[in-house]
Amino acid sequence: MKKTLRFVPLFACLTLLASCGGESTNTSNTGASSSQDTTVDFDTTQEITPLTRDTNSGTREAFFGHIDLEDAASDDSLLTTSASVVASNGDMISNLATDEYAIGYFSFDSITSATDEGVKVVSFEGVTPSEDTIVSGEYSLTRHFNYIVRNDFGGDSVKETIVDAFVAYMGTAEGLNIIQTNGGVVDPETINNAPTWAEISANYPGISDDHSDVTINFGGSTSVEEIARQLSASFSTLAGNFIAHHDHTGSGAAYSGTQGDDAGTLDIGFLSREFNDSEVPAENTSGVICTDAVIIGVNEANPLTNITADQCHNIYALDGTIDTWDDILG
Amino acid sequence: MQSDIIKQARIEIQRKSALNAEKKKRKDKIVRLFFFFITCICSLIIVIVAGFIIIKGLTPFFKIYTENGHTGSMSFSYFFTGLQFNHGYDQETGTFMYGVGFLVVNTLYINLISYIISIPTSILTSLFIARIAPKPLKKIISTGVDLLASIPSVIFGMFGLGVIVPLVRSIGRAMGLAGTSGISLLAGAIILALMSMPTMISVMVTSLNAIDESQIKASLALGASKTQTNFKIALKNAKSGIFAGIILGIGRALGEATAVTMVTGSPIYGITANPFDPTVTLTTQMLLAIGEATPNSLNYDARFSAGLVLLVIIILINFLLNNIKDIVCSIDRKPSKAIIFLKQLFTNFRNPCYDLKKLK
Repeated sequence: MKKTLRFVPLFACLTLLASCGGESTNTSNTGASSSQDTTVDFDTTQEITPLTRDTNSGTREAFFGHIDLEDAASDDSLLTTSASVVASNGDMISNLATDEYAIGYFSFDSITSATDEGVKVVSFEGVTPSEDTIVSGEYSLTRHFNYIVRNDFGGDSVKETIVDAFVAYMGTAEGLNIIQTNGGVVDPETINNAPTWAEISANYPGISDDHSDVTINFGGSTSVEEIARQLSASFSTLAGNFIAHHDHTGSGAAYSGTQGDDAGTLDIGFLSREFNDSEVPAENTSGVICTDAVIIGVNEANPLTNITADQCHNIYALDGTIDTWDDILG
Repeated sequence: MQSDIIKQARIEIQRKSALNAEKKKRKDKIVRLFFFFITCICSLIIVIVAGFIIIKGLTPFFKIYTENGHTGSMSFSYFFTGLQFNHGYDQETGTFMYGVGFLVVNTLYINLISYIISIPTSILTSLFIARIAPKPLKKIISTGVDLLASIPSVIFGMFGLGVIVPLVRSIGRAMGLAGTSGISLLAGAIILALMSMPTMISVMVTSLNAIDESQIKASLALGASKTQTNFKIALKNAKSGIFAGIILGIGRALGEATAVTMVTGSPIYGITANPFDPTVTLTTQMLLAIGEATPNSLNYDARFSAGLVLLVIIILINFLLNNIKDIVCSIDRKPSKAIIFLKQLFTNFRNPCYDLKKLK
């Protein structure tokens, strides 16, 4: 009897634990559902939590470049002290989905996953971001994805031909289609007018020879990585199965790896931003791949639907005048 | 004649055994050298790691960087007093301002909160496992604790995001903090506590199990209750083991990065005082988007300086804790004079009738 009695508190503890677990999952559920149906719950007197990417991000540079905060791209001291840094596009989206009072920006290719997670896309200057508005230029918060190739191949003419042909391939109908399906924004008109690979392959004699012993090094921006991988995979089959080696660390590596301090470590580099003052590519070694847009998002509980560049500036800038959601939604 | 043969045989045997002995000695020497070599490699690692971090960590103070059209090295004063990791360029002194001082405060603060949760819980849990729980239960719980110790930190981070963050958020909202998102210092502290508890518990249980049973019996025989015995005899005897557990747990918590990064957010500015606000620690800042940072840029190198600071803090805390351990459990080792003095001060505190003259 005593022995069985001894287990009573144990069972009590276990049920308590179980109920705790149940409760916590409950709260997370109700949290999600309550944020779905409500503009009522949204407390506009709360302070805004501006989320930003880190100083090495191309998205950050593009965003701040459009809201009159260019210098803040690489300098946190110009930002409001209530801002928080997130490490990646994915982090940005999950943070926006969790925090009702946050605002942030992310790349256009994540727009579907963002809305799935519970992030609301906000119009910028009255224009809703979509492929059409981005192509037409109405949605102005855009940036280019750029490429840069080596200017000196050290006499390796085979490599040079493949790289040249790859750059041309990015401008063909096949290439542009791949870019588009992987999140890049391309004008449909451009795709229609673009030549096919079959039409231009004759410009690169010997391109379809066996190149299975040639390694081409791709690198640079992580935002462009998916596009680059798909392009190289499909082009490799057209150009003698060369080996495509991808090492994407960030936009900064694109110039330094091809023509800068570490020239030669990359054959082709990609940037999710424009070249800066210290990165001057040699003639005919760089260009635009496609357009990407920066999307401003808030939590889906937030009633905000439109924001202007000026409002963004005042939210993010150190001397900005917008602190609470009342200041915008007012 | 025969004795000659025997003599010769004996000499022969002696010679052989001497040879054998020499061979064995030589073998021993080789084995010893081999072991020494292996030990050297192991102990060299700490020297190499420390040396690397020290050199890399000090570089930004002396190297001249050119970034965003400015030239200069890292500011020394802002590094320790700054309230922002990347505070841009200071025209007056011609230095880049990267601050780490506030990160140190944040790190210590979040750890302090986590110890408030983890240390008492661990001590009570290990006491339960070692002395109170019936045998089958004891086995189940200790297996559970051991399993908990082997869970990788990313998993703790995911758990934190899915369970702890919403929990902290509902607690915060219930307390009237409508703006809290759950991504906070408190969530990080809870995760740290969960992560360091298994380490603490397993060491503490081992030391509690090693207590001389006769002391327990003596206590019980003197009429002390089981609870009294557990607290006054068992815990007191296992003091040094408990401290060892705490030191190990603190080491684990201080160095943790991944899980904390996932649940604490990372505000760009200042010291976080409210447990329901997001915070940023040394490890988080070092890890934050390091993949995006250009190697050999100041933003990249400054993380090594932060690493150096973390290393120094961990060493200092370990040193401090070991000394405290010596004060509390002076039986284990002969304490230094300073520690004896501290201990006397300590007893003096507890005993108001202490006569100062006795100290002399």
